Amino acid sequence: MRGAEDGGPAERAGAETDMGARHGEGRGRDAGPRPAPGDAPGTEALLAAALRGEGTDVEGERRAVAAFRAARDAEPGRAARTRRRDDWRPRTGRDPGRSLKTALSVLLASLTLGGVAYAAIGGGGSGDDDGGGPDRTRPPAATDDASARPAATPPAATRVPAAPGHATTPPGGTASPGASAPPGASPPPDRPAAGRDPEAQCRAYARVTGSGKALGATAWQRLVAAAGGADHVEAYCTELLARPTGQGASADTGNGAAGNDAGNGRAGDTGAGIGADGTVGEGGVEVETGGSAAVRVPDQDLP
Amino acid sequence: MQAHDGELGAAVARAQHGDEAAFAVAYRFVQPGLLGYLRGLVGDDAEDVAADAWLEIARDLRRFRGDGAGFRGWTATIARHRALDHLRRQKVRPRPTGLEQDVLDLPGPHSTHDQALETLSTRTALNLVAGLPPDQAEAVLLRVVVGLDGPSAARVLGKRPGAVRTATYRGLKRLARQLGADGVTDDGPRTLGEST
Repeated sequence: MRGAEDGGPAERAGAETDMGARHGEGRGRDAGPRPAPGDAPGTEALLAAALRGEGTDVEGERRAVAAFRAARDAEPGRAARTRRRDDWRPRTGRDPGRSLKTALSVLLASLTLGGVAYAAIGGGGSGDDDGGGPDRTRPPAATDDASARPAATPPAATRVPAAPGHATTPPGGTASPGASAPPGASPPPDRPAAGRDPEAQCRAYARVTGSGKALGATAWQRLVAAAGGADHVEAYCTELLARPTGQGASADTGNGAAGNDAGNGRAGDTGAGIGADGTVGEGGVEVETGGSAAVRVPDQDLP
Repeated sequence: MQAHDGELGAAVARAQHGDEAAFAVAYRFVQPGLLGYLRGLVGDDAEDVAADAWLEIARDLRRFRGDGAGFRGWTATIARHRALDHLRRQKVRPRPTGLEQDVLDLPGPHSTHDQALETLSTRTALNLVAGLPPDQAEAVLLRVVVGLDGPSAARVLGKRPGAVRTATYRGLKRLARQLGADGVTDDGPRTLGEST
């Protein structure tokens, strides 16, 4: 109906059809005097003819026009404010804007909530740093080297923000000694290995010594207790760090040699290096296979 | 009547710029439907209420924004508010007054479709509409008499378009049955008798 400003009933019917297509259900169907579905065509026309007051009274029109004139002359220049109830412009132009606004609001809200959630998770992760000491006692409980390494890596990653020094210590470096020290790991499965935890703390000790609070954490208190007093921490750590380094080096060699003698170990190392290179020729492949064969052949020969 | 919405819109626009004659044109376009609607709401007081409504329409005309169809809806809203004020003053419900006792003045069981078409008086039509549930009656009036589409009628009534569409459909269907337009002539008065 609103699209029918051009006049003419024929044009109007066309406009209604367009409108029905444009606005979807409801609008086109209810627009205009067309009979509702299921209605006899004459009902509406009949009612309209009977109910619409035909021939408007002259007196009423005169009074209305007089009121119009009075209102116009009373406030000629004043631009009346259009209230919401006075705005009957077709809403089709405003609805998309409103839905767009709604969509943007939803998007903004989801971004905000997502950011808050992300920040909360991040804060929780870094908040664990101070209390992370007890976590570090768990990985050494594993007796297997293969399972000890992956388990030891995540705590080192979460500790990075507070103690960057740990990022420089390779997981293999810290895990290997613990894993290569079966007496410390396997007999008491629920107790941490004696050497590992204080060693990791010692590595970070020098970096956090100045920042008061960190030393108040349980982990540091444990370190201090292990050292036998705050004054002995440095000496304790110096000794501790000197010891595992040697163990780690020998452990690496042992791992590479897979329990064989030094000659086989060297062969294994060479094979691994060339294999990792990826640019080896036939000789390299032979060396590698030779290395692995050297590892196995003695095993087969020995029995 | 909606076919003149273009002319009505142009007249309203001119009237908003102070054209007195254009306002008279708009009055002639709108007043018949408005009066019919008000007759359904307040009965014989419709002309007085319409005069009140036109005072407000003339006063607030410059606030209005919209085309001819929008002007119908805007004026219907004003008229409805005036009618409700009137009914409040009378301490009666917003229900056509003075109509219930005239229910007997209906097309009889023997009236044929043709008879109904030819003889349906304003009073009879009002009685038929008054026999509908109030929401259906008003929705039918806004659509058939004022000429509003579904969304505009819903805005006038302050209801959801779907509810108004349903009310209009049911009301018209019932009226059609009562008028015998669907051939079931005998059902008309009986149904109305049940409802009143």
